[in-house]
Amino acid sequence: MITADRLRGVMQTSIVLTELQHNQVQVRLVQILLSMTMVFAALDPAALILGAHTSLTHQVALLAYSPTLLAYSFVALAVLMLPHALMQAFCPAHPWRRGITQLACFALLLASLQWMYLAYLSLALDIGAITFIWIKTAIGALGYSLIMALSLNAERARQYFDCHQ
Amino acid sequence: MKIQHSTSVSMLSSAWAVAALWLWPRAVAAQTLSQDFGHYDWVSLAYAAALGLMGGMLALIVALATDRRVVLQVLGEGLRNALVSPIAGMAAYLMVDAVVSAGWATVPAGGRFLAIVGSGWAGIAFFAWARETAGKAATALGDWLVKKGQP
Repeated sequence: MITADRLRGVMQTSIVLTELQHNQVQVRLVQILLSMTMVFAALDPAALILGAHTSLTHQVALLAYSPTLLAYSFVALAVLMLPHALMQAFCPAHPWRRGITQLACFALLLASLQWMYLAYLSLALDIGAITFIWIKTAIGALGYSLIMALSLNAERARQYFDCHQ
Repeated sequence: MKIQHSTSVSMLSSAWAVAALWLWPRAVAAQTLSQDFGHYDWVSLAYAAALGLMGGMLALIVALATDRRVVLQVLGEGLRNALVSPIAGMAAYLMVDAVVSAGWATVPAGGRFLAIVGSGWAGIAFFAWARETAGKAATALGDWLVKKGQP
C-alpha cells in the first residue's frame, strides 16, 4: 500500500508534505494574498481620485482639504506596505522582519484612518452605498492590522518570558 | 475652607436642572418622542461613536505593535477601550458641535474627524481633560464676573 510516509521515504525531493508543513504553507499563502490585497486596495482610491474624475470617490475627495495630497498619501502607504508582502513571499525569515511588519502595521492603520475619513466626507453626499464601501474597507484594514499587532505582541511576550525564566 | 466663586460654581453645577426644566415641558407636549427627537442628526452621532471606537482600537494596536511594553491582558484592554472610546467620541462630537453652533469657531470636517478619533484614542484621559478644562473655564468666568462687578 502506498502511503504518504512511504512516498516520503522513497522520494529524495518529496512534494508530499507533513500536516504541519501543509498548514504552514497554507497560512503563508493566505498571508501573502492578504498583504498584496491590502497594497492594491490602497492603490484603488489613488487611481480613482487621480484618474477617474467622474467617479464618486473623486467627488467625495473634492470635499477634503487636498484631494491630490490624499491620493498621494494612499500611494505612499501602499509603498510602505509592499516590503512586508515581498518579505512574506521571498524571505519570511529576514532579520528585519519585525521592523518591516511594524512598518506595514502602521501603514495599514493610517490607511484605515484615511478610508474612514473618506467615509466621513461621503456622509455629506448622502449616498449610503459609498459610505458603506469605505467603512467596510477601513474595518478590513484595521482587522488585518490588529492581527499583525497581536502577532508582534506575542513574539515580544515569548522573547520576554524566554529571557526571564 | 471657603470655596472660590461659589455663586458661579453653584450656577454651573445646577445646569443639568436648568436643562431638565427646559426639556421636561417639551417632552410632555410632544405627541410622539420620535416626532421631536427624530429631527436630530443621529447618524452623525452614531458615526462619532464608531470613530471613537476606531480611535480606541488604534491605541490598542499601537500598544501591541510597539516595543515599549508587553500587553498581557489583550482582551481586557480591548474591552475597556470598547466601552470607553465610543462614549468619548460622542462627547467630543457634541462638544465640537456645541462650539460650532454657538458660533465661537468654524471647524472643518478634518478637524472634527481628528478631534473625535483623538478623544477615542485618549479614552478616560479625555474625560479628565474635559473636567479640567471645564473647571478652568468656570474659574475664568467667575474671575471675569467678579472683575466686572468691581467699580
